[in-house]
Amino acid sequence: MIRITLSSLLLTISFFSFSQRMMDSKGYVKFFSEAPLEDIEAINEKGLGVLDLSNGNVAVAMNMKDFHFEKSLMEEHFNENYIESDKYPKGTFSGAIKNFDASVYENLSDSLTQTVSGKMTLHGVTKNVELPITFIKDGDVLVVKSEFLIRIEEYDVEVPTLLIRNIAEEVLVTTIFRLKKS
Amino acid sequence: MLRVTLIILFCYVGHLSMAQDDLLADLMSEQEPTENLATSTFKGTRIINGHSVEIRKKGTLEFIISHRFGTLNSGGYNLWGLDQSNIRLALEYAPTDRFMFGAGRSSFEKTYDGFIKYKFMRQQTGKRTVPFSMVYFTSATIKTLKRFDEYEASFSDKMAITHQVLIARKVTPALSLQLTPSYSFYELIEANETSNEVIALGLGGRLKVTNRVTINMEYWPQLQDKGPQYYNAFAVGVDIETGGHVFQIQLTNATAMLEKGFIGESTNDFFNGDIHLGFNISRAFQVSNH
Repeated sequence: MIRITLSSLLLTISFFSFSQRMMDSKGYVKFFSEAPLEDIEAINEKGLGVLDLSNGNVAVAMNMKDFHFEKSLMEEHFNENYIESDKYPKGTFSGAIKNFDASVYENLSDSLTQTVSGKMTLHGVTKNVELPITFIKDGDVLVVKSEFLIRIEEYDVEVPTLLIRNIAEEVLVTTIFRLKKS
Repeated sequence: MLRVTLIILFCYVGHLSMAQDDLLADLMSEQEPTENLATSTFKGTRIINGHSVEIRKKGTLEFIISHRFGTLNSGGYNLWGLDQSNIRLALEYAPTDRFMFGAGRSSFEKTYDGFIKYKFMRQQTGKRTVPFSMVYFTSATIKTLKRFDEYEASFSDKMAITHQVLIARKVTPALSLQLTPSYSFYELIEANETSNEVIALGLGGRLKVTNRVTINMEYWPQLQDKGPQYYNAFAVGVDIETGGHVFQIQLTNATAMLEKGFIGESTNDFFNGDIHLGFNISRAFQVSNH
């Protein structure tokens, strides 16, 4: 009897904390770079994103192989030569919203821009970053947008000097997650 | 009862103090296993002479120029083989990620060729585990070099057909190995030949030196050859990738760049110095969306 009570209590607890989470498993992540010879753009539409409304923690994860390019050869080289997806299959972010106040998100009427600080891992390299994120309420959905620059050398992505005109050093990343209560 | 309360309390505290990393770990465990295909088992559609399990991605048209010079041991008078050359020009297209076809023309014996290649098994992990990639390959060649004797060769006499099953595994990101059982049939055999069938087992591999450079090796022992005058093809080469190009530079005893030629009709002995310097250059164009 005690055991049953215990497990049901545990279930309630985890359910409670789970219900505070808002998630998207089809998040949109795009990166764009402009180099002298060619623009490079890739889109991942399988990003996973979660926001915990109980404490303002944020986590994002995606498979690098889910980035798709217009030119298939670029995609191959991205995976094989630059981001090394076999060795480092995922890109992740985990962090927390600064000065988090849960009540703000309940009654959001206009867009709200916050700062999130945390750790970004890409190509096996983890960096502390601060990113701007904007919240927009769309019915039940909390839309979270972020746009930021990544310097690829900071993540040890090597570009051979021969190709420096094809690959930009800075990449503009745009992310859109449509979070729903799970 | 006290103990139970304590456990519950611990669990609760544990939940409250859940760090950001746990949220990420939870998120990753939510992620459904996806099909994780082994990509870029080889850099090119050829290991050196023979085809690799690589199929170009959908909508890619590749223009390939391949060259084999004369043999290194032909001496300084011939600039160690550079005076002579056999060239193959080819266009190869992939209408899907699993299927490609191509056509080419070699200067050696003025031969036209066509091939099709279909990947029926893809090495992958994740949702399913498949240890190998497998490709069915077939090529047909037509030799149009005029004969030096009186024999009037019919169209079918000029043909040779090859069937292969390519079995490859990307063992580690750096090392890939391929086994290629091969069967060739020659419509016409010459007077000094004894068989119009050649059966061989191709062995090939590549080792990545850097992300853009690999060392490749290939050996084609024949289980049944056309006659004793033919040697097994051996080749060693380097792949260098730069943007939309792959350069392959190789040393091989084979003159021909077609399966029926290099597997069954190589008349040179690699270990006797009958080595051709050669290269393949490919340029890929994205002609339709993938």
